[in-house]
Amino acid sequence: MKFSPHLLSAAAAVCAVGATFPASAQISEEEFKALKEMVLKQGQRINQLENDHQKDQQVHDQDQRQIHTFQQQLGDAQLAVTNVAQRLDTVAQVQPVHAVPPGPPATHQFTMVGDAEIQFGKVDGSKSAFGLADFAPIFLFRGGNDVLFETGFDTRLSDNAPGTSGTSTSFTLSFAQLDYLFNDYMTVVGGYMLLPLGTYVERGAGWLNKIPDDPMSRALLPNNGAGVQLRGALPIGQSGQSLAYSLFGVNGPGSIDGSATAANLDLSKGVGFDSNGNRYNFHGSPSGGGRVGWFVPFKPHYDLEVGISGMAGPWDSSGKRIWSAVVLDAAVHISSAFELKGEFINTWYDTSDNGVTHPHGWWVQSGYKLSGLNLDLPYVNNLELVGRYDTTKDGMGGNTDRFTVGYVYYFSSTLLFEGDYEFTHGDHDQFVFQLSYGF
Amino acid sequence: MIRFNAIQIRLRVGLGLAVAAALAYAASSALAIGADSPADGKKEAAPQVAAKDEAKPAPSDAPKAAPKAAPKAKSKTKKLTGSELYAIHCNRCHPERYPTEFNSTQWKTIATHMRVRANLPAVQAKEIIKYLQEESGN
Repeated sequence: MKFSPHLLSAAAAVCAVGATFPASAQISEEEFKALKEMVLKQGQRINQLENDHQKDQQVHDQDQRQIHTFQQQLGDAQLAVTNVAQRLDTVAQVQPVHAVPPGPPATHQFTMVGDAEIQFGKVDGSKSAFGLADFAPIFLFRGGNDVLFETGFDTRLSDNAPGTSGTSTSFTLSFAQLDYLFNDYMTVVGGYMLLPLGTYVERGAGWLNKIPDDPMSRALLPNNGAGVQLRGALPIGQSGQSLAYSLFGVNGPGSIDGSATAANLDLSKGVGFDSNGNRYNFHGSPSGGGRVGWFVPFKPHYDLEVGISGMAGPWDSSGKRIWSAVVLDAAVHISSAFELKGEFINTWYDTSDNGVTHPHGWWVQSGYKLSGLNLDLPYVNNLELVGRYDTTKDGMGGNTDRFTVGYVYYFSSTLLFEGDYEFTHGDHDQFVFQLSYGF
Repeated sequence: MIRFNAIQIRLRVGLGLAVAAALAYAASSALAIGADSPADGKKEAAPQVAAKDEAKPAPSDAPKAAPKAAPKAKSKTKKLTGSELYAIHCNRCHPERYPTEFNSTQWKTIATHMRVRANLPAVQAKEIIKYLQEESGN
């Protein structure tokens, strides 16, 4: 039987107290009761202490069990780490780890840019209407540092002819070309290209042209051609000056029916295949041409560019009648507010019914941003006033002159709201509003 | 009336293109090889080019913010920085774009497209690409 040390101590204390009284001493009733009460209290205290001790012991046992569990888990984790380290050693022995070669992480990259326009307009004598003018994405795929494939489309929606229902969506390929940056001075281009006759086509897009309609005289030139091109630019000094060149060979213009009558000239023909997939070229001879341009910056936003370009080649099925063009282009910027540019376009071609036909024309366009007035007004600073004069003679007696006044409001550098009124001598006047977004 | 024998036309056009292409190839190769050789240290008059540190969109690109022309230096040629070349070339046809509109890899692709389309000198185009990539922030 186990006795609590506390109980034994209390008993000993009682005996000691009893021994101090003489044998003959008499303990009174009250003294006995007090002593009995003291002993009972001691006993209760001892019991309490024993209970507390048991509880502490239980907590201690629990802690010990938890510590034991943690030790087991730690042991397992150490074992896992050891296994992984052993596996890494094994892999490293089988496949030595090579350093990642330096350089950009992505050498091939695809991205899309382009623009979209919606219009509201009215031609004199007809009703006004909204229209989806154009959605023109450009897909760019770069393969490394020296190769770029680029292609652009124009998607337009139009009503079907009067008397028929519904609409039609036209999907036109503007260009699809492969560019190989041969060296710093020459890029080789092949495919269906925008032709460098002047600069309007190469540097134009819905959100770049400040007036929605193209200059009339641009219709005298082919915009695209299937062929090859060499192009590049030479820097002159360290001022940003440069001399740019382009040299191309393409299938060239053709004839609607193969004949050499003046009205059958087809500047959009010449992609090399017919609709049946047959290789096809009316005249079998290429056209050639090129452009040389000189760019002189005086300082940022102050610059002058002039260029001369040309193209020549046969156009009818006999291959004997030549179509030729010469274009002079110029552009000047004076401060960030003022721009003036234009082209003189001269073409001539031999025909069977009209002799040497000589369509030609020119256009000049100016723009002034009102921020140049330093008025510091919130909406005025975002406004640009634009104007253009263009004239064209078709070489068969038809002359058209047009004077256009308009504006561009820049919601941002890529969101433009344009509006213009076109006074056309020889055709109907019209007004056009256009919202353009470049992305 | 202008008439040519079909074979003559083909020969003339083809020969002309071939000669022009050969000349262009020879010239470009010579220039490329010459560019790799050490500079001869020739002094040139410094251009009057003002610095423009940031590209801003057209509406806020007011003349009052246009930088003043730097005084002419008598010696050393000043090479234009990427931001200066960007200011010179990249708003001739369209309002300037923010470098942060695209990431570094996209700028390489887009600026290569612009180098071909606008026929920019390669050395200038590379500086512009480097500037756009650095300023793109990603």
